[in-house]
Amino acid sequence: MIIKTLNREESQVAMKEWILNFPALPKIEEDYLKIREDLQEFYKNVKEECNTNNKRDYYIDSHFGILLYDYLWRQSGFSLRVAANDDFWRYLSIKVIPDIIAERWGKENESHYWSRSTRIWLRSIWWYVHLSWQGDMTSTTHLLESPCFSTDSILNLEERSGRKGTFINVYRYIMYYYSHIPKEIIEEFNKKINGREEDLFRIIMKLNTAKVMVVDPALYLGGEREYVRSLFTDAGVRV
Amino acid sequence: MAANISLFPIINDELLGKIRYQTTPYELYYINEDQEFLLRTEEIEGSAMIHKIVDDDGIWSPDDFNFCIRRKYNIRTYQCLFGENGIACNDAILGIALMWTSSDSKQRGIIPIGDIKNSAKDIDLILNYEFSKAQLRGLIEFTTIIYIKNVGKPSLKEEHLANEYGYLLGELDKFTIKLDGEGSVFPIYEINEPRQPLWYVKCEWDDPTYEKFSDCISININRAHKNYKFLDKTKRTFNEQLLKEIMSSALILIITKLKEQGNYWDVTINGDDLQSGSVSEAIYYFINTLEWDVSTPEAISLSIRKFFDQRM
Repeated sequence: MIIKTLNREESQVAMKEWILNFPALPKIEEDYLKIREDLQEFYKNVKEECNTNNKRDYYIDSHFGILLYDYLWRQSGFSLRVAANDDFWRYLSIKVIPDIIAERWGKENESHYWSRSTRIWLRSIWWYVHLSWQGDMTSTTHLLESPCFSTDSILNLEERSGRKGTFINVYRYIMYYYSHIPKEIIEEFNKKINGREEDLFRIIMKLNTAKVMVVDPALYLGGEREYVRSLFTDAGVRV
Repeated sequence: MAANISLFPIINDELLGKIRYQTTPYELYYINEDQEFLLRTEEIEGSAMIHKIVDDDGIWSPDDFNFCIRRKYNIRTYQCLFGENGIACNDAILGIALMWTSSDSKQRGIIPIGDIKNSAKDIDLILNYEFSKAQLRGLIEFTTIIYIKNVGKPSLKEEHLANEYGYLLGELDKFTIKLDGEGSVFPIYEINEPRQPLWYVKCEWDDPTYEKFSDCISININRAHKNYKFLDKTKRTFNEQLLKEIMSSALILIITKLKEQGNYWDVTINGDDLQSGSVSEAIYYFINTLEWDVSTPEAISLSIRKFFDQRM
């Protein structure tokens, strides 16, 4: 696939065209037409498979996310460098599958299409999967299906990463250990701190933000894995 | 976020001077068919800190090739780092590493370079590291850091020293490269919105110290407005003063809005740890380099207008 992009100015124009011509889909080149069809197929299947009304949005975000993740890696020309380029996600959102974004967020929701980097939906679910990756599709899907995760987790993980670049392995271990904590322990923990707008996941994230100021996780004794375990220990939870 | 206050001694300019830390410049190259090809770095205009990569043969690009960095280090009188007046216990081992960070790439990492044991030997180290093809984008910052590689047994006089695995004990130097990126484009857009005013500003930031100025601010000029002709540069009716007035008002508004956010404003004024290209960094620049007076609304208004009259 030839990587196509839309910058902010082009996005603004393309977004207007999309709304004006709704529900007609933008004209795009052949290879992207194929991508459009494939992604539409994924989305349709995910919606059909989803047999729960409880956490339906999360089901769709995570399952469509993992299919998108795997699919893009199989396209030649796709790379981490592309995944970090917001303008690529803008193109995909406005030109290729604006209908899917419209179904999830409404056809005029600019921030999830292009205008706010951290809210561009496709970017955010792709990186959510990347930061949760456990080596293969099956174990990653299994992890993401853990009942402790919700659309809030996507927000927390995505919005907290950044500043000076993301500790990718640290997030992968956080996701791993968090998903292995029994439900009762998480509930008990959250009850104890009740009253504050907090939960265990956010506390771990905050501890991480503070701790990386003094120690780099890769230099910690035992590396990133032990580093992440120490965050849970600091919060008073054994993993 | 306040400035980081260290709980233990870290390397300072005085210690850095004593250890006679010397390095070669960073050498950048790429590998194609098992052969090395040198790349050049060049300072980006107006910024001694940021360098772009130049391939004189015009072959290399970040999409199609890897890039590697190499650098030699020499440290001689480093014994002062150990013991009660230093930064680590006498029998601890320090490590030198290169920390690379890139928010544009959403990645960061650590490359260990070597160890410093408390001895009399000169230390010569070599760093050589490969970044994969199409791994990185935008700005990448390289910081040489020193850390506790192995803890020691603190004597009574060493109890104030850091003695935990991996603790960061300071930075030796910094180097930044820019693989690609938009220059600093001022975010002015033309829109077409009947029944809306001639112009308006949008500020959509959550964290101004991190989010890009050009991403979360837009100054929108409305083509559908009957007075747009005064802002249309292709028309004879174009009135430069009106454009200046709009820019001034927009910037006053942006600064005032940030000023209302107490914590973020303090961080902005101090200039600590601001993301390159962020709203706060831009405003820090307006205040410190362009010397805009932001003490009161009247002062902001006056100094910004003076600036536009002189510069535009």
